[in-house]
Amino acid sequence: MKQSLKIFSLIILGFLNLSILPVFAETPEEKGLRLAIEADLRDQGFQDTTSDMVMTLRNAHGEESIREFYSKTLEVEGDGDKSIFIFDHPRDVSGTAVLTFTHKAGPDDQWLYLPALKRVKRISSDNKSGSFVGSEFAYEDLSSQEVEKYTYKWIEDIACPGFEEEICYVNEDYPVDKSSGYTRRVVWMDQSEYRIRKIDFYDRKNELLKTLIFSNYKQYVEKYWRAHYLHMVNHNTGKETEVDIEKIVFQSGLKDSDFNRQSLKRVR
Amino acid sequence: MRLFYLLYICLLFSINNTSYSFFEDIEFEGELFLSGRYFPSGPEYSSQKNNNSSLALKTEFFYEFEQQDSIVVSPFIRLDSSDSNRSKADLREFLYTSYGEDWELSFGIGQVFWGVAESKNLVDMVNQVDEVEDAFGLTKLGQPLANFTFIRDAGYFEAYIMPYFRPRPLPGKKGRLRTDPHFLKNNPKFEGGSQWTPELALRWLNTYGEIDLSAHLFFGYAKNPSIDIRVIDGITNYGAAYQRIRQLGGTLQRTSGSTLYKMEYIVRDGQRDANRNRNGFISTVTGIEYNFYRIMGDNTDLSLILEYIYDSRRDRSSELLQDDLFMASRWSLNDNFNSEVFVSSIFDLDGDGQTYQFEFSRRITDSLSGTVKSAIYQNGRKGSTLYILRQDSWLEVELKYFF
Repeated sequence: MKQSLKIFSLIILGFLNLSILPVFAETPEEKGLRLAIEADLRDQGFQDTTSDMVMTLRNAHGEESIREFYSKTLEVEGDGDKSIFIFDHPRDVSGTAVLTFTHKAGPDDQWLYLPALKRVKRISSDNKSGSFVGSEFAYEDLSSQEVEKYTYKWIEDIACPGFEEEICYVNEDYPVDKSSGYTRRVVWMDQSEYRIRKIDFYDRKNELLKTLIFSNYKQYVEKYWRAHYLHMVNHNTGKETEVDIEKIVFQSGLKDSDFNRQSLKRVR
Repeated sequence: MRLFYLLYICLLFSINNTSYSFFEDIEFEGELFLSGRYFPSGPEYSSQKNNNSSLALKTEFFYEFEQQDSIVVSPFIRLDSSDSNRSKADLREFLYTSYGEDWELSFGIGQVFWGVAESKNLVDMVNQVDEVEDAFGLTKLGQPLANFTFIRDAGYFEAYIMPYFRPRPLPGKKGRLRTDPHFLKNNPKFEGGSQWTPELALRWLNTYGEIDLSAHLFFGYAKNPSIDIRVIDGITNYGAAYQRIRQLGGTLQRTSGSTLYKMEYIVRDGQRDANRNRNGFISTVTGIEYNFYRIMGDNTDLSLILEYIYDSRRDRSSELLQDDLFMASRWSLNDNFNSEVFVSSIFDLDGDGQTYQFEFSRRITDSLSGTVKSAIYQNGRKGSTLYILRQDSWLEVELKYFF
């Protein structure tokens, strides 16, 4: 009797289990987070990169101006990446450099090097929403993307925009930091390699502000995908910014000591 | 000057010893300045010229050897239409640097910045300020030095030896922004030695989260000369006298969100004050900076800066700022032209006048930029530094060409 009761209750439990299955399955929030973690995992172990970039700023009248710079990034285990941006062109800002220690939690640490004065200046990293050298990119668009900096919600799976043969996950990201210029970002990420194809940025009034398209992806060290062409359009002003990444070098052996105040003074 | 020749010969020697590829690998940059300075009021003192224009050239050569060694050479030349003390040649840098993972060694002629404040950098003890070159006091003379830096978890440990002291450039007889009488260029006095009496500095700095801290010890000459009265043929002249000092100082900065809290302090012993007393004194700059991002339109950033400058010698101090409030705002337009406006005012709390400074800079083309600067000196009490400058408010327009 005892035995049959046990079997019976097991069967009942089994049925119950089936009927409540949708509740146990992941919520859109959980799925969003899982996708972000997966994308982050796929980028882990890159060690370091060095990139040369050309930025073209174009206003609504089609007038262009060019910015050239290069960057070095170091992967830090257990915390956000360290990076240095160095400006090459135009000449009045050439040699100016920014050192950033990204943190998973709390504000980033940032130092600016002014070559004319040989001055290293600790600066506020609160200017996330500010324009990067007058471009349509804000500082937060270019800083190291850490999972902890957003909360997530998966929306749907659809064909990738401009790349119909692939299916994309569409995620909404909500910035944790209150100094962010966005209420949310909508991110299209392909299912095969978790490469970001497109981001829509919504401003503080929750209106569509900017769209960023990533293309010309190349794979490095048989693992890491990097876009070589970025195109940002500001829907409010009609201005746009293109970024051509001319060269990326992976794992050139950069060390922690290449990312401190002393090395910031040496960059050129 | 002899030192420059020596170093120059060293460079020539090193060039002769290496192959031709050396020249191909040298990075070169140049800046050509053309500027005109206008004084709306006529000069107060005899022989002073009214306006001046000048042409300056700054070049930089950089060469990197293998194995993390490099040399940078940066000569500077200015030709000025009215003040012979403003026409000059200087080696801003001639520095050999070698570094490893946790150390850096450099020697030659260098430029070193230690400060954190905006109104005045009390703690900058390595380089002499070139007051003639730049009335805002941001330009420094190249300083012969050897520096060793050690990097540890406990911070950056720096040691400096400066074998040769450089007197402060001061305006000549025909120049504006000077004392009356002007300082004689020749024969400055160096207490307890000569220009070749070495100076020593030790410094430590580190970062603890939001806080950047530094401290230093300095043994050497005070950069600001005291007046040494010399009567020549019955005429009173000013000579410069530099005293040996001992100094302990430091900086503190807390970077908290959009707000920056800053402090510089020094405790100094050995310098003569206006009464020729040598009492020790303290001086501090304490300030706060607040940043507003993206105000007025899409991209404009605004920084508001408030600093208080204190010197315990008060009016016995030869420094312009000794009990003053500095209020400034910096507008960064973040536009295609990198336009920036910096406006500041300095109020002497002892009722000794006000200074207003203005600077607007922007890019004109990719290789040309322009700056408009101005300073107004107002209501100086008789005998004070601002009173001396009462006719010398100025406006400067400068074009900078990069090649």
